Amino acid sequence: MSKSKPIKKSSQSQKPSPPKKRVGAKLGASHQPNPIPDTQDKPYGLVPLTTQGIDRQIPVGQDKFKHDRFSGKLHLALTVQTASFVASGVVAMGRDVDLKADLIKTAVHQKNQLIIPGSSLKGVVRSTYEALTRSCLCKTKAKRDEIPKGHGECKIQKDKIEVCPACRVFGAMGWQGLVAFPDAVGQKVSTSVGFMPSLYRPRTENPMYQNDGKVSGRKFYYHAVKAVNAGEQRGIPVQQAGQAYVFKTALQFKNLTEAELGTLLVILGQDSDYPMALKVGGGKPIGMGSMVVTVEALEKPGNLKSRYTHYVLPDSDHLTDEPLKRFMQTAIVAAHQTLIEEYQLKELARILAWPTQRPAPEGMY
Amino acid sequence: MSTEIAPLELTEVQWQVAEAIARKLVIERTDVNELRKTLSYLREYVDRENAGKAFFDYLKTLVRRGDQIGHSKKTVEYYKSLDSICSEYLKDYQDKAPQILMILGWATRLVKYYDKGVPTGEIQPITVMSEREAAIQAVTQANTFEVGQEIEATVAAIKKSKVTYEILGTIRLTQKEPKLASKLTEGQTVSVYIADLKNDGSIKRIKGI
Ligand SMILES: [Zn+2]
Repeated sequence: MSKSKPIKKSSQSQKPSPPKKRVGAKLGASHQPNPIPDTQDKPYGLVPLTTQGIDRQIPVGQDKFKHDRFSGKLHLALTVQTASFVASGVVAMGRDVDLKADLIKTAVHQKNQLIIPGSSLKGVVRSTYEALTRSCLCKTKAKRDEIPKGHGECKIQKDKIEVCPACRVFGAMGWQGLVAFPDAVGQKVSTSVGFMPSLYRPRTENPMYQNDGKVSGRKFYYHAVKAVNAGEQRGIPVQQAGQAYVFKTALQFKNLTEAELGTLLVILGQDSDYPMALKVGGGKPIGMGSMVVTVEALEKPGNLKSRYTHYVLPDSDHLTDEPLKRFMQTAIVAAHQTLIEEYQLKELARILAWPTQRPAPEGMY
Repeated sequence: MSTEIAPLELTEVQWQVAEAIARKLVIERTDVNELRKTLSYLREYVDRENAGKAFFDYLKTLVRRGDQIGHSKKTVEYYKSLDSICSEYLKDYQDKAPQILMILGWATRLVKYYDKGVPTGEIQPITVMSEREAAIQAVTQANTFEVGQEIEATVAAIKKSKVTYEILGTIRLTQKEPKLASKLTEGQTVSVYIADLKNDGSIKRIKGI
């Protein structure tokens, strides 16, 4: 895969849209899985569901450290590329958060340092992980009868504990996952007010569904060069993280296989063949919330005894720079070999490609 | 002030206030979700200094700029209603933000009850007395007063020839005392006698001795 490919593709989509074709009519004979409708006039694209079936297996517990698996912490820095806003649900007076505005929708914050709740981040990473692997459809708004046969949410049964790849890593009802996302904390006080146009309610017409009324894919919003900013007259003032604002967090993991860790790294944009950014928080349709992840270090207690008997980790267990890159590369290769569905990855990487030349969406407000 | 610990339960008067607010909200068909949003605001900032005053400012700001964040013209009408209802019933609690939070919290629950349980037409507004009025009523009911009766009072304020006495820790009465005023000091304990009673037996006038 060349790096420029996703960018080229997305810039093509700026041409005037051709008349709409009947969904899937032309591609009917193709062997590609679930041909999906053209969404170039939409701010999102769809990653088709896997046709391989859900790969349910017995998950590994996190009660014991397994020696053939990976445990540790990924130290991440998320750098904001387009204005980002994770709503706290509270509308305050501007003066309450030291910002110039009469009223402002506040972001999740502590003492004006913005925060991305761990749960939000986990949600973003999980839905991407689901799309790339043979995972169930569980975090979906679709109704039960709209979910294609066999794709339903994994259930933990007493006699049969078998779950999909995403449920193994992120957990399922009654089953604790192997990763934990603490809150990502802003590295300085935010002084930025943005204006978010009031978004239209999503229209009911939704290309997510096939002719038979079943869900055909997972929806991901495109990145844009910059977010639409409606200006004070028409927008809702929001306490936002402006461009270059940095959040930091340490993703904790326990008993992951190399491929599982590698898949997480691909999602975090660490695969140079598929450069991607995350999309976090509100205003996704208008280009908000793009964040590029840097993996700053990886802590991996190679020898568990030394982990608990030494205060400072040996260097070999704290990877940065070249050794970190090599480690990540190997894990990513393992992910491609055994876990990632390449067709789905191609589609996802096209939608989430970063950097992008896609302009801010128009006509959305 | 703002460091005051939130009360565990409402006083009788506060119950009435919550009740009165709830009834008004239902009568004016104010969206209880908008009240909930203002409650989340108060909850977030309740520990700050002057949180109560800021809350009233907040309601005014919502009326003024609510169109900016609201979804319809109606939203601003809801804010107007919230602002006037809170001004009417909660001004006494302006320095007690935790109590405002409690009262409004209960009002929200009562609105739900009225909304589901009682036809709107049957709900009448009620008038509530202030904490002060209630305290005075309690003191009056607990004591029998007679004209000429001598009681102890604290000099609460002196303004030129006018002296404000406070009796039984609650009732304040102001009286012209041209001869006494210059001799008294604020905070001093003195004796007074009851000069006149109201029809209900409460004190109308006292005079310094
Ligand atoms: Zn699952």
